[in-house]
Amino acid sequence: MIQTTIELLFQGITLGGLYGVIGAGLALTFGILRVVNLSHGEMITIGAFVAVGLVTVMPALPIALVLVGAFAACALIGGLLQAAFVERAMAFRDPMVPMLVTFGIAVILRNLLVETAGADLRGLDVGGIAQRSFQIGGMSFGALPLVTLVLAVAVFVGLSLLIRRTAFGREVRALSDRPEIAALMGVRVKHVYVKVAALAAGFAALAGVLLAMRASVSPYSGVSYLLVAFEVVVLGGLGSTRGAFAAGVLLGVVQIVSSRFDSNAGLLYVHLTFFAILIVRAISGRLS
Amino acid sequence: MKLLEIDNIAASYGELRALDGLSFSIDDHETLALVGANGAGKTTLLRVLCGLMTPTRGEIRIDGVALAPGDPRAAANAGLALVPEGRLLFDSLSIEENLLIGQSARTGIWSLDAIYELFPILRDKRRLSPAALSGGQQQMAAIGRALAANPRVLLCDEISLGLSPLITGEVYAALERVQAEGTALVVVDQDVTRAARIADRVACMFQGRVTFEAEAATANAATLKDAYFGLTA
Repeated sequence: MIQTTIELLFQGITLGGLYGVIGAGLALTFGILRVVNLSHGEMITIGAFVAVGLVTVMPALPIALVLVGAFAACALIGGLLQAAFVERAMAFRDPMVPMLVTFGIAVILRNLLVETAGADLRGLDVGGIAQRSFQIGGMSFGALPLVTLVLAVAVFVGLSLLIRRTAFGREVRALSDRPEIAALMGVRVKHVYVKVAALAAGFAALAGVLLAMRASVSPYSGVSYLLVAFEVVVLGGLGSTRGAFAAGVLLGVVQIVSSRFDSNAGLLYVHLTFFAILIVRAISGRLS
Repeated sequence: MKLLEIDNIAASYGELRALDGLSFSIDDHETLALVGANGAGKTTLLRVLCGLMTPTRGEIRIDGVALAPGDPRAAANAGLALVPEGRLLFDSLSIEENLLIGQSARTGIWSLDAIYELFPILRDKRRLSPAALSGGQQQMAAIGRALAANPRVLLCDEISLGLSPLITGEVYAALERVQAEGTALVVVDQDVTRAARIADRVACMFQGRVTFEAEAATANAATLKDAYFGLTA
């Protein structure tokens, strides 16, 4: 019983790490740019398809380079989209304007992906690691989930160091606090926004690659990822990347544990948990 | 040539005209006390100077070179730095990080050490969040942050607002040291007497215009009072 529980928790935490990465980019764009980025799901899908494309063309390419390639491709796309479209939309005081622009971008990206890569489901073949596992104390742990967890932790530690310890991170935090005053101090606001958008898209790509390692992805998968990303971001605290990681782990554990009792549930209990927490928060907010 | 020239500047909030063809200039090393009742347009003028607000007409020049309107970064690079009303420090940054972010624009004599020498208390509190500081210490940090940009003109908005007389005295003593380093100052303060005491000139605004301007040492208090309340507009 204890062994089964530990195994389930391990699976849940590794899946949660992935959910955390899915939400990290969204948390970044919301926290810094104050933009609800509805194209985040499509960026995850593009990351997955770039990885599949790279492995198809260069089967011997190490997975680390696949991750770097997908990150770079999506960061470039995200940065360009920010500079060309979202930045202009942000000039309007109404937050609906950039949100609608990202919705339009999502529709265009999805259809471009269908046009170029087809509508079929694709998965990323990572070789023997997908089947490999190791035993500890009679318990079995998959190597791929562990790799996912290590990558997720690396993403969050790296992001935390970038935001807390670098001059760029200082500018990012200043912009998040008071964009007007940061501009007064000589911070190149638009440049920082473009870099943040690129970073968020890059993280989306990493999530996409990790997802494609675990399951098949289609150009239409973006919407379901976006839903998970929103749940992670809202539960973790809007704009908090650390909170996103913690919320991701919570939802991951809920999904794995619930699938043990109801194998057809999919994400149902994840969404129900999210809904229940929102209700509890709303009630406790009213009471306080 | 004047250091800062403001030529026929007008600015509005929708239908409300906040600045109405305002002109004046500041020499190098000069301190101007800008006074006026609430709603006279003082803060709006500082916002226009810093590029936070785009004027509907007129021109701002530094050393005779026109400043791009509504561009805060251009203003910072040209040497205009604001100590905003209410301090508006960055809460997510430590005090030292607040000072470091000020260095984004220009380099010069106001290094981190020079700022800590001016406000020794900030060195002790450098790792803390602004929220952990008193109002006076926050004001010092806000001045330090603006000085870190090594401005040619330091714009101080409501510099003594909410501060005790003792702390206000410390803040003004620091401003005198900033003057001594050759930085021009524009000081906006409800405490007219205190502001005029460190100023070379006093200008009074009323309904978006400068209605009175004189040497601080010779300014007639009664005339200034009339201008303050719009009796000479």
